[in-house]
Amino acid sequence: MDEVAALAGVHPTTVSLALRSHPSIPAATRERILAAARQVGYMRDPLLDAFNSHRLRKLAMKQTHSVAFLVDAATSPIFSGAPCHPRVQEGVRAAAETEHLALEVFALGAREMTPGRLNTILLSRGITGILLSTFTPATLSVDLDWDRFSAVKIESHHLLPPLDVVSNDQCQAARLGMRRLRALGYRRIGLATALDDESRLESTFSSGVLVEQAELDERERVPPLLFERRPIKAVAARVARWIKDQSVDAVMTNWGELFTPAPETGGCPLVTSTSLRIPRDVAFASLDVPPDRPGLAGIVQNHRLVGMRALEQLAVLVRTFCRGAPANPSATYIPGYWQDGTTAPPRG
Amino acid sequence: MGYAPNPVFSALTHYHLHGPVRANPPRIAYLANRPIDEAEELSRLRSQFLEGARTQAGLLGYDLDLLVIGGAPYESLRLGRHLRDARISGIVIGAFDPRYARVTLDWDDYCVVKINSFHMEPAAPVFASDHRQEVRLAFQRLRALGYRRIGLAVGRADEDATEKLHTAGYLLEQWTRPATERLPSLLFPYDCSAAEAGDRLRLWTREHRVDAVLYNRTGADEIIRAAGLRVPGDVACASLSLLDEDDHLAGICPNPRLVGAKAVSLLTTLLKSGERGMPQFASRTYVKSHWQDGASAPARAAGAPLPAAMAASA
Repeated sequence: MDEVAALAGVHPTTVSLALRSHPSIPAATRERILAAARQVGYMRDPLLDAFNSHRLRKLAMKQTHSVAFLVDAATSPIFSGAPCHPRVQEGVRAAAETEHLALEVFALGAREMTPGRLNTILLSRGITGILLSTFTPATLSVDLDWDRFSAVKIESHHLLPPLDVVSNDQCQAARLGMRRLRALGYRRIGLATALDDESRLESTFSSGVLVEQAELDERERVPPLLFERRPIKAVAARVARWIKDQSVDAVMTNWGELFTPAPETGGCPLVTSTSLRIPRDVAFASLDVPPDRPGLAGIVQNHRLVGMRALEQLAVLVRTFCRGAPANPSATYIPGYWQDGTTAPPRG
Repeated sequence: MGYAPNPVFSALTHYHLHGPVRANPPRIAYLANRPIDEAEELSRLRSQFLEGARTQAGLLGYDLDLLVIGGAPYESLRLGRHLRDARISGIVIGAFDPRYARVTLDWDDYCVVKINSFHMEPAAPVFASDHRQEVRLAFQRLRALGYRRIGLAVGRADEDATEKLHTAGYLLEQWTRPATERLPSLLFPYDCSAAEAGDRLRLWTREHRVDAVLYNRTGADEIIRAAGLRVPGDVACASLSLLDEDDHLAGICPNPRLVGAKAVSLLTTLLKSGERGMPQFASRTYVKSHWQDGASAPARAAGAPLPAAMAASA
């Protein structure tokens, strides 16, 4: 099998999976490996087959490793009642299946699930891998016995301890949004987002806007608006004031609640609870376009891929016994892509 | 416990121990576009990327081949032939310098990751130090030490190779400061000699009354000498890339070995699953660094006078 692997340019484990027609191996790769096997005259080892068959029959039940998916009960208002972003969870589940890992979901803060109780449960169940979902900025740390676990966070840069984190690339999103809007003819492009969002995301939206603005004429630089999280009417009023004061011609925001589509207004789309018409008074570009808004211009974030990559990273840590908070944590960013829409048409 | 050796397994082990010779481990190519000369300071960073990559490759069962490419047009063709002949399908593009040659291959045939090298094709997953976090951390530490006019001096080539991550961190920190404390950064042009860099540094620190410089430029000692500045008497200095523990120098300690290791970890994952070609959405992974105090940026007492050079021009 090693010779087949060397010839095909893959790891021996990949050869094993391909010879067993495992679904994780792409068809083209499997064909290449089979061709290499034929070339070297590979034959299955009958003694090994016999031993494996004998061994598996003896096993009372298949051993599947479990990892914990830790969600923050307090985030349910942000995710419309769900404990975490649904597409992130979709990606986590898909990757868990590919990695042959069982996923157990725990909601911290719900039904007396405290960190201490959770710690006991995880250890007693032999769960050594933890994936932390998005936590609100109000939660500054999760106190578990981290030296006994491998762990990865999804976003939540603010959350202690400092662990490896996987996130959408908000800096890239903001930079791409600015460039596309400029290409469409907008010249006073402003970022509006919540202070606590930036805290959770390490100010990555702002960093993208500032880098792009640094190349522009001073007259085209709009100071980002970072507002306090309040009821949407108050936020919208604040945003409307800023749009007027700064002569913003295109607003970029990750707050979908600021956009009220035409059917709901009975006319044209509006900035929520204001009289600002979109795109006539101000163009609107979302920094997190939901899948059910095809007419909304902006950045589509890859939430599902974030979930997948986070689980994949955790799987590597678990399998290589890398436990505890790393001395040099890493942050992995997944880029999004621009979607044209009627809310930010080309300017004449 | 009633343990008894399994006769089938014993027979298999005996057979394998006396069976055919084990095949050579699969290989990964590590591409560089400049020789890695340990004597050159910039090369030390690149050699640590390579060291981390090679160690991790060994741990995961791979051999790693260092291939240095030049600038001739036929280099890519020769490289492609060599990779095919050597049956190498995994490539690390190792911190290519934007001033030097690029490489063109049929990327669909390979699994590829990059270390830095943002400026060039292919659009593969990238691994780098978290330069944005490094500048922010250094800026915050210098402020905590009492410095108020903190300037960033970096090479344009470095910014181009990392999509302006240093600048992103600098602008983010400056944005929270009063306008009077915001200074323009100093970007050393491509192929800037130490003498020219020294002139630029001297003029910039005087014009903007810089009391602390964040720099990543190699050969900083030579540039500061050329500028005629004393550290920390005229201006404090904090390096953004301290590769050795040195009590004399304050600054950021990155972990290039870990960057190299993480790049190889992903590459081997891609090789195992046969994911060749460029992903639709290539990720970026940044490894965080830590701060080191040092004599080049001592704590300033509250109300302390400006450094001598700054006081003279104030």
